[in-house]
Amino acid sequence: MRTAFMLRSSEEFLSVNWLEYFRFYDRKKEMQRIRDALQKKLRIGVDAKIAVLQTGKMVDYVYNRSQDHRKLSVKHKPEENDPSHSGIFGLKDEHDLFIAELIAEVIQETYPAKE
Amino acid sequence: MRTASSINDDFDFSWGEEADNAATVINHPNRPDYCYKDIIANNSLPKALKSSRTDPIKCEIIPFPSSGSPFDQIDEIYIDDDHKALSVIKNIPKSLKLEHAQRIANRLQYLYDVSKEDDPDEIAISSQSMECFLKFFAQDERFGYPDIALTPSKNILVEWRIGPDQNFAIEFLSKNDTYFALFAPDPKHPERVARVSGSVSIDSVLDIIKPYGILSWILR
Repeated sequence: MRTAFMLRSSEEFLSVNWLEYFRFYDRKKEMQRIRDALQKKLRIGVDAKIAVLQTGKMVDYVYNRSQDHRKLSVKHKPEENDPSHSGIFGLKDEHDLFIAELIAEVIQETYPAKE
Repeated sequence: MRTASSINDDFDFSWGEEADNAATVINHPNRPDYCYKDIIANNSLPKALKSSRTDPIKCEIIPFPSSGSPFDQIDEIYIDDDHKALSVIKNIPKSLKLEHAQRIANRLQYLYDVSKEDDPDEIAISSQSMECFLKFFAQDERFGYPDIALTPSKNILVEWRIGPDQNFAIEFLSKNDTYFALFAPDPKHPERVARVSGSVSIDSVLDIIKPYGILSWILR
């Protein structure tokens, strides 16, 4: 759902994880590492999903289709227990539904957030 | 102010099937224009009174709300957003004349529960967003069932999506304000995709999306 790509009022960026950071080159292993990291800091619902997006495609897609040619950027923001933690910057506020919709359009794959 | 024992002398409480619910409204049997305010504000009171509690409980007898819509009445009675939201969710199957009214109520109850579990100290669902949501769905009995979610701001967001570049999403911001985003074939050049978004009043949103053919997706 698009709400996953909307900011909370206190957030500056959308929290994401950089899959290639681990250099596993194996999606299953990458997902497991992400699940482990998320479970340490979030309550994961049974229906929760992890969406996979390609950064370059997302940035291009949003830039070319948003009325204001929005330039999103993704930066590595490692955390102590979550070294692949990163952020999508460029969303305006917690009601930036249009950009959230565009980001959701480029979801490539989804995986259960809980196994 | 009165105590429960003295009120029991005056009020013949009828609990009915909603007795254990915070949404219960207690009416005076002979004075339908009065209700018992503090019972509604405290979830534990109905059960306590039901079991013949005799110790004094402070409460206030207030005129029963007389204004028009169910939401206005609830607004006057309930103190906090959570009680308002629960009451409204419970009444959706009666207040919305939609085929999927019960399913919508079930979904909102689920979202309420999850939201409360995630942030017990925060409001679960914005009552103003809920009011706007109801106004939207009261506009037509043919609305199909949408995806329903909560935004991080606890507003209700609904979406109908029938394929890539064919979706309509609307966030209910406050009592009368919405923010929408739609992706649809351009009305004049259907080979192109129109991507439109904006902030608009609840009364205007259907008129604004109409030229994009959205109503044929969202109405059954």
